[in-house]
Amino acid sequence: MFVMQCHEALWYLELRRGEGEKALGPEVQAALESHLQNCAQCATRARTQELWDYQLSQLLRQVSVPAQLGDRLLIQAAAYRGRTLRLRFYRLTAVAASVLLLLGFAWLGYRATLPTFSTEQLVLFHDSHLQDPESYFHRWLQHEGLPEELPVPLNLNLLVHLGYERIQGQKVPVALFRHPQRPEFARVYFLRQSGPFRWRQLNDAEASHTVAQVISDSQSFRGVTYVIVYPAGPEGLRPFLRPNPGTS
Amino acid sequence: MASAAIYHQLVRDYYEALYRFAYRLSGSPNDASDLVQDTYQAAFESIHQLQRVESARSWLFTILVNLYRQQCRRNTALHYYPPEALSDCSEARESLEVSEEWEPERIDPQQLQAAIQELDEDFRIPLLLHYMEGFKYREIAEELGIPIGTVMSRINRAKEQLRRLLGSCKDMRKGPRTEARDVRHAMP
Repeated sequence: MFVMQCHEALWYLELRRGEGEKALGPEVQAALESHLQNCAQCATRARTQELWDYQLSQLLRQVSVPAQLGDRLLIQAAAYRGRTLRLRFYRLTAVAASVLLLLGFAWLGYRATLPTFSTEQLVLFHDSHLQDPESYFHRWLQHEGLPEELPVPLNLNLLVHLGYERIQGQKVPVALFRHPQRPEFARVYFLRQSGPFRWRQLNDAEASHTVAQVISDSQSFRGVTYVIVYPAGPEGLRPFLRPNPGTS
Repeated sequence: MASAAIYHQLVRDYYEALYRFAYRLSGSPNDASDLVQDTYQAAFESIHQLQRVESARSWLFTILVNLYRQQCRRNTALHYYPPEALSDCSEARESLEVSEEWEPERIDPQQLQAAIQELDEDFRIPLLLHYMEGFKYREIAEELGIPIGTVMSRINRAKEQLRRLLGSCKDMRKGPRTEARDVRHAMP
């Protein structure tokens, strides 16, 4: 244990007063106690100082607190909390209104981009179909990127419909022709060789009332295979073909 | 957002200690009430900074001290004595020895408050935090953002000043009556 001098003892006493017993390690604590036992002046000073500190502390704490202060502060706390809650409510309302407004504008914007269903255009299409079926048909072929000529000279005056059919989940362009006299139809399917079907395995087919004829020539038809489905019978596809100029 | 219970707990647990401290700091009941109310207002506004309720006491006192200092800076009527002025005071140096004539029962509360008011705020704040609220030197150092050695030194000097001023007050009872403030102003 080291021997403590008076000025050191005073310093450690001060530190102990301010920081508590644990501030000094056991060795320093022991040295301090030993010094105080052997030094009457420091011991007196320590006692006086402790008493002084205690009495000063007691004196300083003798302040009477206003009776209403606690209630006033609680009211202040409640008011502040109320104000904060209101503010938060207003803020949330403003955010919600902004979001709704934004969604509304987005919806209106989206609606504005939707195409208009134009009956006038429908009328024009229909009229074009009736008046000039050949041009109508060729425009459609051009639009679909299909060869301009069909492999067989079908009578375009018998053309009923141009569109698509879902075949095994794939959208296939198709042209529908009516029979000139009977309620029968012929369909022409346009299969692109770059499309999703294994077109090389296509073969002609025949049932009791219907025939399917595959026409494929990669050079002549720009990679398109035609499947013509028409009623079976002695006349075959002939009623659907363009009449010869010489025949009536 | 903090719950209503936390607001109430902060008020219930600390308002009395804060008021006593504010009163000793400002020397006026009205100023002390205002200071406590301002402290709570500031605390509520920044309650999100309070990470643990256990540290609320030290947090509230720090807010109060900062508010008081702001008010002091705004209020030019308040006196400010730089610490250097006190360190040069031979009178203070002489009072390093603890007076055994200290008689607290004879100290008038008004004289005590007047003597406290005479202390510079840099000395008064750590003294009050330590003696009134039992803050340790380390805690005071953290609150005020100064080294612990400075805290020790300031508290010691504050005590010396206080002893001297209260001793003067005691003498004043015997002799002609003089304001404690005059004693302080007589310092070099």
